[in-house]
Amino acid sequence: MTHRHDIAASRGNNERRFRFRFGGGLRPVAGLALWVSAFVFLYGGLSVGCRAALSPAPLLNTDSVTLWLSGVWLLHVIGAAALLYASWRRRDDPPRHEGGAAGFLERLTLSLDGIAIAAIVAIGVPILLLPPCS
Amino acid sequence: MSSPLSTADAQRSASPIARHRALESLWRDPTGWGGFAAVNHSTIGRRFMLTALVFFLVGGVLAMLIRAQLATSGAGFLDSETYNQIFTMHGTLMMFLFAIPMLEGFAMYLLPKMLGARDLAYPRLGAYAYWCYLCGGLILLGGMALGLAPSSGWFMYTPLSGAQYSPGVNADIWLIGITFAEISAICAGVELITSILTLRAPGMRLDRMPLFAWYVLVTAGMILIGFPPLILGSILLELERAFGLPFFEVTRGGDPLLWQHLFWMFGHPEVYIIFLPAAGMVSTMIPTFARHPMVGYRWIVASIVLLAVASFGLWVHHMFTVGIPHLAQSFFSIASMLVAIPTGVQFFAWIATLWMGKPVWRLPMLYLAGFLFVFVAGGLTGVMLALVPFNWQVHDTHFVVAHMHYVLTGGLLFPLFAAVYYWMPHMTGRMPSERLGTWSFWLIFGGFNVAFLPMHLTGLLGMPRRVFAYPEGLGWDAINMVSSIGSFVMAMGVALFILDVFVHARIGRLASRNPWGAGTLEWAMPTPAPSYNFAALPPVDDRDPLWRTPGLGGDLAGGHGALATWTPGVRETLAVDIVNGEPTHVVRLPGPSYMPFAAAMATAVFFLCVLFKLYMGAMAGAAIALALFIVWAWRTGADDRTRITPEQSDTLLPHTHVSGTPGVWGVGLALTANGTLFAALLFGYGFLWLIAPNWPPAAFIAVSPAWFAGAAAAAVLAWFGAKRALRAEQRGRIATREQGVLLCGAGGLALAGCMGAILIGAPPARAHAYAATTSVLVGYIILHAAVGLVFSAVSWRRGRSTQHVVLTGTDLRLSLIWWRYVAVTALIVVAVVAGLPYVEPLR
Repeated sequence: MTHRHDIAASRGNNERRFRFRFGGGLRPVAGLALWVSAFVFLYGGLSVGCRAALSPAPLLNTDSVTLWLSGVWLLHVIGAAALLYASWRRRDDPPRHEGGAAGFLERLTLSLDGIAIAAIVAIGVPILLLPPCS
Repeated sequence: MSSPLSTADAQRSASPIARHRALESLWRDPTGWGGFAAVNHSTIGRRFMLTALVFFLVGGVLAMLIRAQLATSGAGFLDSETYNQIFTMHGTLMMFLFAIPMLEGFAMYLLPKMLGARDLAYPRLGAYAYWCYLCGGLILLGGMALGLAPSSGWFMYTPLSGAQYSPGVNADIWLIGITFAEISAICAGVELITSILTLRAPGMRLDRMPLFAWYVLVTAGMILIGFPPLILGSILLELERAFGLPFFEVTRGGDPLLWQHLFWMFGHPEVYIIFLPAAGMVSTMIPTFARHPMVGYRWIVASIVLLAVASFGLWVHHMFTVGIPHLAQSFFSIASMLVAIPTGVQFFAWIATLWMGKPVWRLPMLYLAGFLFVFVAGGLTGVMLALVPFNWQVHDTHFVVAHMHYVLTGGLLFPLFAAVYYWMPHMTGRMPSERLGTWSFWLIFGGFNVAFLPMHLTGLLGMPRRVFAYPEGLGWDAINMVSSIGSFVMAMGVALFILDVFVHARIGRLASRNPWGAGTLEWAMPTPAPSYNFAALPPVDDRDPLWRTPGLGGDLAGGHGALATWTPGVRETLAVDIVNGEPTHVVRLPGPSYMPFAAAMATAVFFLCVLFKLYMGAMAGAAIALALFIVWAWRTGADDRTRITPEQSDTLLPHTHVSGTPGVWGVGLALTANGTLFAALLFGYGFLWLIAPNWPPAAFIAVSPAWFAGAAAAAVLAWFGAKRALRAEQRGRIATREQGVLLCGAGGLALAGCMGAILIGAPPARAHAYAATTSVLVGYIILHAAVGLVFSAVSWRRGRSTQHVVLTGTDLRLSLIWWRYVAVTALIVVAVVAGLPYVEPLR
């Protein structure tokens, strides 16, 4: 049995505790999860839309599949932007010099959220350029 | 009579030699026949590596046969069926039985040492994983020895691998052997994730973890998500081949493209599952030889995570020619190009580390330089293949073969050989030969490029893959001859490498304690490493602890660190807070046991009986395996009978006395893999409904809605009962606890009954893919309800047992996790099966 004072020296005394809960633990990959969601809904939505042969939409002089996919894409871009904004606001909480593991995770989250929004924007651009079902 | 080291004070003041002897007797594995009971991570890791090496050598011999056959035009010396078996087995051995198990072996051996722990979280599960891997591999090798090897390619595309075109047992051998080996990989994945997150040295925060641990953590997560689609595909194909349930057969509503989707959902992440641990080795070795900490630690972690997630969005780039809409192809094309960015970030970080440091040129660096060159070349052709029009031109040609080998040899073989040289002193206590190592490098590097660089050209000239012969006069002859010569030169290099390692492991120069001057913890121990790793667990306050405290190894051997005392007969290591690395409790690990070997043999009986269609035998094997697992679970934690005493309030408690134990992690992670399999099954259901040509079926399910409502209510009841039982146990209300368990059992039985009624009411499973997939979905829930009932019964009985003092409700917590999963999946199945006839008009 190891006594607590034996390992007390190994503990950082200026660290904030960052409890690894389900939400807290997965927050760093939330942006990329949104990218996965965009991928699934765009690919799946394209398959369903083309199979259901959705009728041409009068709106914006485009077909309804493109319209639906653009909407799904836009929702994901907005979601990713919200995540990025939230992580940007917390980027120095706790401050870098005393952040420890919690600060590392906050900055990792910011990096991944930035990458995620760029990836979501990138995969959606062809929706605006290509016909959906050919 | 008490031992001289029976008290904590005596243990603290013991000499390093006395401490070593005591800990060695506690942690070492038995020898002789007792080796079948070995569970120590060093032993299991070494077994994985050596077995993978054997499979690598067999795969290498097959590669030589392939190149000998293709060296000249004409029919060569192999007939088409033998050639098909050889290239199928070459790919299968290298991808499934060499690459991943070898890296798992490295991870199992190294991680506890790098993380400052004494073992992995589930020693018996690791041993079980090894025996499963060995059995799966032997099934495949046995099939090959008998001339019954699979011959449909390592990707087993349907309909070629279906019963009509592959009528023998060959394809079944692949499906059974690979599924067996993949169970092993998933067990290893669960073990590695739990160990990395929870079993580390005190003070090792997430941001102080060695990069290799980050790489393996992410890879193990990818295994849990990437492998189940192939396991599902294998089960469905075996059901089609053995029982005639149509999933891939077009005439009865199936679609062969479903197999391609399921295979490549696994197959593409597999490439990164192979590359990432190897890249982790590179990220460990480069700072050592650069004499500089790794540059861009956070960006490397971000790159690993991005690479892992993005790798699941690439699978369709293997299917660009099957008729998918252009827009869908563009999604996958962009994602395929996207993965070049995180890979590039890692490359720049490695180069920057070398640039910032003062590199020393030692033998492993030669192989790392080879890796940098070869993998970049493979990555560039990968970006070319991500472009849809180019992909159409070279699809199924030797250009793809060349690309794949540049990626896999560059991304795995060169880092792996560097790693073998780097950690050889750690495992054997002896140094390799710089001269032999240099010779073998140039033979491998030169031979590889002579073999595979020209293959790009044969591919561009139109030479298809998987042909056993080709006519002369097409301009392929000379290039193929050069390729074959190069491959034999490479084989000589590999032979020299193996000779060097095995000879110098015995007679090489003795290694000093930290011969390369590394900063990571695995070098803070004597070499070869003792079975207990550390006499005391090291306090960590830096990413490179040995650079900060060069004398750390001596301090630990002298007992200056955590867990410096021990309880005779009890194997202990520290568990820490996942993020902050603060010690939370002591994990007591099981010692040598024949149970993993026996359970693996029972599992092998199940698989072999399925292979030979002896279904009664298969049921017996499954029943024996289940019984052994129950005994295994029953004994876990049963010896921790002590209640917490006031004197213990100032101590770290054993894991049986706290929540969040390894068991909870294990069940949660196993269900993650299971959930991926379920999601892949739902994908298959949706795919067939939307895409397969011969839909709708002649008849939909005709069952009273009451059965669906009953199933949904029963699922919720079982969940509620499990929750009530756990709450009651935590509050010490034994009677309420019993009621909760009974409620849960009643709900589970009712769920199985309702689902059984739905299954009976479904159209015959052989009639149409709709009926077949519906039956599999419903059968999935029945199976899980049955396992849940066993779960509940065991936890209920253990709770009543006087042998087991329930302190944290762990058993019932595990039961709750299981029933929650069953309830959610059952509700989804009810919604999907009951709802499909109503949404059919959408199609």
